[in-house]
Amino acid sequence: MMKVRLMLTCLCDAFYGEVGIATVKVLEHVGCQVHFDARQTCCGQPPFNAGDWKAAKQVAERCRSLFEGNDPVVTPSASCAAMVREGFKMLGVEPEVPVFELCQFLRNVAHVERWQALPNQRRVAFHRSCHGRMLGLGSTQEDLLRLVGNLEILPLNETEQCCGFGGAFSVTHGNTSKGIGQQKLSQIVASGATEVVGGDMGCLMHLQGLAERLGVPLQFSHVASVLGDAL
Amino acid sequence: MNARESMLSRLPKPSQDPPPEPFQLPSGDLSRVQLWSQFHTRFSDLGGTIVTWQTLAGLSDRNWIVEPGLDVGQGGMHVDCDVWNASVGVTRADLAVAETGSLLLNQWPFSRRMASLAPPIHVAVINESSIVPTLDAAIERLERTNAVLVTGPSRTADIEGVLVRGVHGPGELWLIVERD
Amino acid sequence: MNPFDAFVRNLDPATGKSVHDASATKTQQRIDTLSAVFPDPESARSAAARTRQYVLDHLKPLVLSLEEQCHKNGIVVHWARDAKEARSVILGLCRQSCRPGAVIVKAKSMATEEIHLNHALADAGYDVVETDLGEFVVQLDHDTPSHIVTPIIHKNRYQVARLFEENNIGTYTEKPEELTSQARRHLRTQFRRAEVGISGVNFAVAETGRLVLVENEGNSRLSTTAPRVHIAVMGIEKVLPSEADLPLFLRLLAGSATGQRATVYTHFIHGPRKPEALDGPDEVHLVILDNGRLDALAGPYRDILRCIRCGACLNVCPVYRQGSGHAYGHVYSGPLGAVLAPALEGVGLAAIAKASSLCGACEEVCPVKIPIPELLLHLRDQGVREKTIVDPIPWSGFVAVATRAYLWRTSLQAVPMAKLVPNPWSRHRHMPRRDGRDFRRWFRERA
Ligand code: SF4
Repeated sequence: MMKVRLMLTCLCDAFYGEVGIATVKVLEHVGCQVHFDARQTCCGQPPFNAGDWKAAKQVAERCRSLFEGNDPVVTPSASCAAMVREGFKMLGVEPEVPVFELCQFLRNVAHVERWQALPNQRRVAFHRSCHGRMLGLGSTQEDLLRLVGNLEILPLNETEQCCGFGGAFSVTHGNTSKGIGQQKLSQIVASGATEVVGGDMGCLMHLQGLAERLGVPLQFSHVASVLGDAL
Repeated sequence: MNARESMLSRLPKPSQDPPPEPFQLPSGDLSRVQLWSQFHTRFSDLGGTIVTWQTLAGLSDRNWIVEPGLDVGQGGMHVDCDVWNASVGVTRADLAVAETGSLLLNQWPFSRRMASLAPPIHVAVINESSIVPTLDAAIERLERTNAVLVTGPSRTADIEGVLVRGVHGPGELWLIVERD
Repeated sequence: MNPFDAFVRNLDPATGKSVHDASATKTQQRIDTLSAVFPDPESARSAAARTRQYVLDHLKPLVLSLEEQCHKNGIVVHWARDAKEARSVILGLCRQSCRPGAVIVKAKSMATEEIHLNHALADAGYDVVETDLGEFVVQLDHDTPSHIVTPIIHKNRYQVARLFEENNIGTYTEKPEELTSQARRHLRTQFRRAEVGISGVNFAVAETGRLVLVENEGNSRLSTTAPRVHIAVMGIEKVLPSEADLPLFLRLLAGSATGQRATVYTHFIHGPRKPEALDGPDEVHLVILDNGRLDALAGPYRDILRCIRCGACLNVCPVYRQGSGHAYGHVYSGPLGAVLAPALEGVGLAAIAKASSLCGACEEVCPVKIPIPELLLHLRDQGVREKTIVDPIPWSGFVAVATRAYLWRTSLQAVPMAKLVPNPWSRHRHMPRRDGRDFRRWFRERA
């Protein structure tokens, strides 16, 4: 049985416990033994992106030492995975942590090739998070979702466009962030989907908050939850 | 220190690495007919027209400017005028580029750069053998003269992205292909 | 609120729509063209990145070779350390060639925008005329370009029509074709009168001294052919080693900038007219400009000097699309500008690097693979260290919490209370709700 260590992410810690739970369920389903170190906090991305690298480094160092070792670290967020993989390098925080975004792990390490079907048909739009770019995720997440029965992924235009979250950017540049989010929402609505699936709760939290404020009726689900719902 | 010296002194000492190999697109092995057919597709997509000398006869009442040394024959329609007032400019083209549908115009002694530029109609005359497959091949053949690669009629999309032909250069680009 | 976000908030919706629609169209055309032109666009981008990197690493011999070749070809080379020096060199050349009051035509050039040349020439009494349609509109409207390739991306036909009517360029029409021909008529008289033509340079070939200019309208050809004197202004980094490098860069530039296989005119300038030639300028001058480039070359942001000014990063950028180039407050805008402006002018401008969600779309489209998000992050770091970026709330509190597990857990319990106070998040969005079970408790309890 493969031992993996879960990096929960601060958003799942604060708001989205169910995504963390689904992640554990999914990982256990593919035969992993999931460890969770309760001392974990944050990867340091917020101050890193803000440019306060001194602050970021302190948090990142702590995170790195907590995840010292060779067992894969899996996180339901491309954003946190990219921070640990690329951001740590830029900060000079070493040695490397063997971190994987959840779908990347399922596809490339656990070699998942089939998945159960959902109990009910769902028609969704998939939002690619930008940090997937830095990880070279490409279509990994959609590819995985295509294995799920009863799940239809509708074509979405302008998939290269960001949702406008960008962490602290969403509050320092609130109007810009909102404008970008509105564009994304209108593409999603145009796709005919009533549900949005994504791999980062950051994007989803922002889009959901915006959709609710604007009265756009959409559901938001994390990939882990969709995979979990099929089990 | 003058500007030149002070700028040069700030440029770091280079390494000895050789320059990277220039990137080339495979030129394929199309026959001349296939090259002309590819050229034709691109050239007409851009808004260029392939014409014959007969087509030009219809414009005999217009003001023409003709590149020296080019025989437009056709009895008396050669009216040399101020280039700014010409309606038709006739020049040679040295090469056709199949990849892009472009024409390469070298500036030979006695050539007139303005003839291909100022009149609303530019007619280029080219030899059938003067076609190359790619931009790489065309640039290899650049002479030590001024030259321009013309790819379709003058255009802009500055206003709302709407394509408009004939801004400052010719809005009509015609090509006459002559048997060698 | 920072100036960028304030600009976005105040931008009128029509302008926002113009910018968005044009950018989205250009982004799609870019993808379509590059994938049709190159069997493997990725390898083309890598090759271009390598060549541009080579140029930056070997600038000295390349620029010297360019100078020598230009000299052989009869092009006079001038050097300018900064904007002021460049302006005075150019002004000096103009004064040698014509009297105040004379018409000077300009082809679109970012380098001359950067050194604010038009004002200097106008102050000296010259009648400076921008001849690119977009730049002409910008000049007429006392506006500035909002995009490095498509200067009036922020304007629609109605605005152009009103402007032309007010300035007696032509009668009001909503047809772009007619507006274009009004500008053509007006500018032709200027071309005929012009005594000096000023342009930029897209690529200068070190091997042969050839200056390469690309354009679609023909104004650049006219500006560099009709007047007696042609002055070309180039940033010192615009060199390419050899002629054989041109095809790749011409394809990438045309494809990335405007979705074309080749621009309508690619102008290869070899030198002034030969004695027997019937037209062309008697004099060609090349002004090689530093203006911060050599600082940038020596600093952490040197990769941005690989840029070939295609504008693809602006078009794809979601942040640019919200604000247009004007939001950046600098001649160079978009992801390119957010790095280039502070790289050229100093870290005092670093705050503009915050106007990015770091989505990385720019790096993905950049034909020379500039790692823009990484450069933006480094700029933020430097800005914070040198206090040109100051966050309203210091991060030390966050560090204190995030490095102590118990404080972290207690604070997380309190996060949902944030909804009780007005905060910058909730100005635009509903607050997130705690959804279902708490992970930590669930994990503890199942064990
Ligand atoms: S940074 Fe890259 S994408 Fe942006 S303008 Fe320059 S070359 Fe083009």
